[in-house]
Amino acid sequence: MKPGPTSLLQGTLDLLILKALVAGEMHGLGISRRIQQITGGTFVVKPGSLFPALHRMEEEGWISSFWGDSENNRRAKYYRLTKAGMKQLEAETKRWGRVSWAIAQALEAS
Amino acid sequence: MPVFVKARRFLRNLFSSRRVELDLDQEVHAHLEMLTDENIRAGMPPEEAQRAARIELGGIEQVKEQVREERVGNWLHSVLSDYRYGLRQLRKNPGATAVMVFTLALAIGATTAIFSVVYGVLLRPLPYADANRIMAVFEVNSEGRWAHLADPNFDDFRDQNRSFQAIAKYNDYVVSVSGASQPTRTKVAHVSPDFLKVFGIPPILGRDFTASDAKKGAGPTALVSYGYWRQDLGSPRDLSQAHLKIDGAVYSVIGVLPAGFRFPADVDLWLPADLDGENRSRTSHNYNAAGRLRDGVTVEQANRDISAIARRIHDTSSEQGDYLLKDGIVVPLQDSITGKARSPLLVLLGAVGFLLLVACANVANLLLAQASVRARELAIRSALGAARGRLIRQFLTEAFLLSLVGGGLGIFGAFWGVA
Repeated sequence: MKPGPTSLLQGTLDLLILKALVAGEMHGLGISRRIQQITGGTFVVKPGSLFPALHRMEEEGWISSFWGDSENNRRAKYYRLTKAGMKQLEAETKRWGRVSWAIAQALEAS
Repeated sequence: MPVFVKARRFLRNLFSSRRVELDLDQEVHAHLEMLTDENIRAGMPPEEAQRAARIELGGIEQVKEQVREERVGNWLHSVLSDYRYGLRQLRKNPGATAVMVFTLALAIGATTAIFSVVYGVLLRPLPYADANRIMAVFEVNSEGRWAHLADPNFDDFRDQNRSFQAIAKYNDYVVSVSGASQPTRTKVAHVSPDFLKVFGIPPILGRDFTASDAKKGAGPTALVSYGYWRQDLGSPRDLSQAHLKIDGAVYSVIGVLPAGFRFPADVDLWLPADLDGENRSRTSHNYNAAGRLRDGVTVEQANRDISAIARRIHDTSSEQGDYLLKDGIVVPLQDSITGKARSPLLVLLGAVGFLLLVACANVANLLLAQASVRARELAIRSALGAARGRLIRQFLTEAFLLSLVGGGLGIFGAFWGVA
């Protein structure tokens, strides 16, 4: 992953997408709304960030996709977690835990 | 496992790009429709719902381009499309393209041709082992000019120096030779016996000259070049029957030199010098001389050595006068061969170097003029989601294509010109 401040942001988006998909298979809009919901509206993922991330993660093998019918009978592309994706989620979760703990420590230091 | 996934995706992106693109297009459109549905459910009138959905999506083409940037093997795709655009662009302005290619070809061709000559003459070492240890030796006359060596002076250099492990004299003529497949006019060299040792070249067949071959009245012997051995003698493995007739004398061929060895230039036969005896004059400058430095001896040391011997001859000789040597000098053989050509060649190289610079400046100007016309095109490309880097790469690709064609033509021309 690229170094610098973007790496944290990019990592965060991946983590949120993986986390959202734990609830089951979803299409892009569903993932976007799910992230909005589980972060209490803090993160609104724009399609311009969401789709590139989804395609990249699919190429990494963390998620897989298939075409299905949406709730209002529209054809939509659905995504689901793969085994590699589950592992990645665990690793990312641990990493995020370490990072947020470290940042919290740093901010509390006097 | 993910490596396989990645490899499969790479191949899919590369070979079924149409399906991948269609898939992406449908996905983005479906997303837009779902956004619209969502807005309608939230109570918006259909037209406004669609408008809001489009705003949230942020432009179908831009989203698609962003996804493309993330694909495995995207660089290959985008490089290929850069080349396609580049070629199209160059074809669109055939006049300007032709002028630029021609300018580059001319300048690159001239530079390459001159550099080939400079490389061959000045830079490439002579093709002998440790060629930088091979020196030329000259007399220096009373006017400070360099002169060839007289026989007795060479003998003194050879016998008294402590700097050379081998030193030999040589000169060359064109003579009529018969006895081979047909009579020929052939360039021959008269050499003293250590000649090949100076160059570190042993014969590939037969033997080298020995001191007895060069004695007055010895049976005439000859070494032949590889080319002469093959074409005029018919490549015999057994040299005992190979004889050549030169100026009424019959020479036995005793050895064959390796292919590529032709020193002095274009010589085919090497014969022992002074079979009729040496010229005793110290002022008949008949021979070139070359020597191989002993290990550890520098050019300066060799120069002092030879100079001391030369001055001793000058002081003690009975043949005083303007033609008698006053000093001696040692210079690397390559420098002595290329000495006079050096400065003009370098000047020429500098001149064509500047020609190349001027040509590049001209081409850059033409490209700049085109770029200002293409501002619109750039605006459209960046509106369609082309990143800054992509636009820059596009221009670099075009310039690369131009230089490739120009350079190719130039090198082709130079090859033609030098050959």
